[in-house]
Amino acid sequence: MTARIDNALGSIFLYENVLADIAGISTIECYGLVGMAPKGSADGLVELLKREHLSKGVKVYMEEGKLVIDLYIVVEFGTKISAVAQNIIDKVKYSVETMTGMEVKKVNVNVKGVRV
Amino acid sequence: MNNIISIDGTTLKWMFINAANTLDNKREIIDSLNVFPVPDGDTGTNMSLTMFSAVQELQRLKKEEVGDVVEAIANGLLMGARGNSGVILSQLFRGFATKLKNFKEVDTPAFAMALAEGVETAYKAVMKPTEGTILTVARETAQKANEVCKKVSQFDEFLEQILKQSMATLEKTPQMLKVLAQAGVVDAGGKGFVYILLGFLNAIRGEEIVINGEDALKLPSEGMVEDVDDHSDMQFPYCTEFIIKNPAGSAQQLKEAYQGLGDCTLVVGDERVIKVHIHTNQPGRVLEEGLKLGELSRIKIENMKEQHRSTIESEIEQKEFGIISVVMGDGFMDLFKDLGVDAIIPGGQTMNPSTQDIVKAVEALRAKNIFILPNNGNVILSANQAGELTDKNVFVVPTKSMPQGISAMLAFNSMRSADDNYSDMKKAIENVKTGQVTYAVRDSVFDGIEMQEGDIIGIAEGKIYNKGEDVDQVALELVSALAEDGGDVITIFYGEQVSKEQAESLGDKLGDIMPDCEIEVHYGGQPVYYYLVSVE
Repeated sequence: MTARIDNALGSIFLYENVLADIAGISTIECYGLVGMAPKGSADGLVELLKREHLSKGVKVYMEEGKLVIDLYIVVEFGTKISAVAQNIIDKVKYSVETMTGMEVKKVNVNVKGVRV
Repeated sequence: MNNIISIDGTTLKWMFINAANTLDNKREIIDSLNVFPVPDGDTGTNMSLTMFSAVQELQRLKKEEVGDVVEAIANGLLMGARGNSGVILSQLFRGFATKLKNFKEVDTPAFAMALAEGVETAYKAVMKPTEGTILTVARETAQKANEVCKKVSQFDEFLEQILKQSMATLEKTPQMLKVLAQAGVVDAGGKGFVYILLGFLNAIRGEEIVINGEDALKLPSEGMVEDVDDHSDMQFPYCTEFIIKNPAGSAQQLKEAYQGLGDCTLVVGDERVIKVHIHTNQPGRVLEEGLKLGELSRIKIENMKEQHRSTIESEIEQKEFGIISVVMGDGFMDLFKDLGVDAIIPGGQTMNPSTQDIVKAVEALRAKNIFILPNNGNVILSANQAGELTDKNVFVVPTKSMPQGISAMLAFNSMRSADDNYSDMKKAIENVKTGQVTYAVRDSVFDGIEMQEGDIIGIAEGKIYNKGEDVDQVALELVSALAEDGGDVITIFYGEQVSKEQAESLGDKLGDIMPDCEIEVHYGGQPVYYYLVSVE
């Protein structure tokens, strides 16, 4: 997926990996989160992604011309997960919208693990 | 000095409740500092709500052993955590609680150890800790506590010392986190942490001193970062920033010199460099004081009022033309906007805008040539005055009614010169005859016509032409008279008292009487006048 912003002088193309990196980096700045998990691992085997592979835990796509961001994360045991997730949603929406100028329709947080 | 060297569960509970209250009192200040991670101004509120969730838990306690109290605090904070700083608080106290749960009495070394454990727990729960936040403030405070507890066993002194450390660290947060420095604030969550410690200290002192909330808060004030508020009131509009290299004095000295010169003052640094940030009315004096200490570098002075204004307008280049119109009625507002008017001043008959209102609108418009459409005989004078009061190139098109204003707008052509447009617009309104249908507000005789209150009257070109009891009948007569000497287009703007159907049926009737004319009916939404009519 490539996001596109047009103006009179030309177009700006934002590739999915760019959007995913922005979302991923914003996510790991959030408190309570200890890692990203690869979005594919459905079998419960969750490995914490290294920094450079952050975008594997992020999926970005368009819906009705707006961005939807799915995040796959691991949180610290003993944190209030709902609050942590809410903070992530706020932060990612804010960062992506201010940096790219695109509207974020939804941020879905998938908690794939809890680190004890 | 009182001599508390150990605290029990009941005291701990009271300390915590006191901390929650202190925080809540300062909630708005903390909110206003909130710029990171998302500048949504809710840190204070979130922290306070998180704390109160723990207070509720504490109030439910039946036993008040240390273990019960810390567990209640940890659980309450966990369940009530809101926002980033709320979650961080919950982690800090979770660590704090695990260390203390088996204690009967807590002395200063135990308290310091618990703080350190809290910090460790808090740091564990984040992948990439951001320095310059509550985490940093808590960490340095815990380190200080570890040193102090070896020498100091009295709780009041112990807390006072670590409180000072927390304030010192808080002052440094803008150096660690760029967004804070840019906004000229200290970290909001960190400030909240300072207030919590302050609450603890007050509680310990409160056993000796009767609690006198506000006074107690001021006790350890030296070194405390002044409350920084947002820029909305702009008492000190010049944001002045610079760096002094190899200063011949201390930051503290300079800070004292800046007393009373402004707000949001931030003077930080070491022997090598001092950074100054201040919002002031006297940027010159601020620079001079700095010069006394050494060479200045990276000087930046900005007028925040201008910045504030230009945030909205920054993308709009100075345009060739700007048009301001005085308008009454929502329908007319839309019509004028659709025609390309840049700014609208609400007003008209019975509520004439002042010269000042017009000057303000002119000043706010970023355009080289500004046209003003007063749309009312009484406003033309104020518009002329306004034109003289500003140094912008202002043209007042003497429109006496909104329909005339519309005609003037239709004559406007952005491709032509300002002078050409001015003469075109004036010509356009000469060809427009306007009529108004309204009601008499009191019994009177005017232009030879006797009226009773409530009579419907028709006004043609500023003179009363006819009167009657039926709005549509008066309107019909009036329009017929206006169109007598010829006219191709008749436009009817119906006001807020008239329904769309009624206006359209009037249009149909006129069409029957004058089949050669083109008749348009628009919603004007104006008060007072049932109909405004233009004939061209």
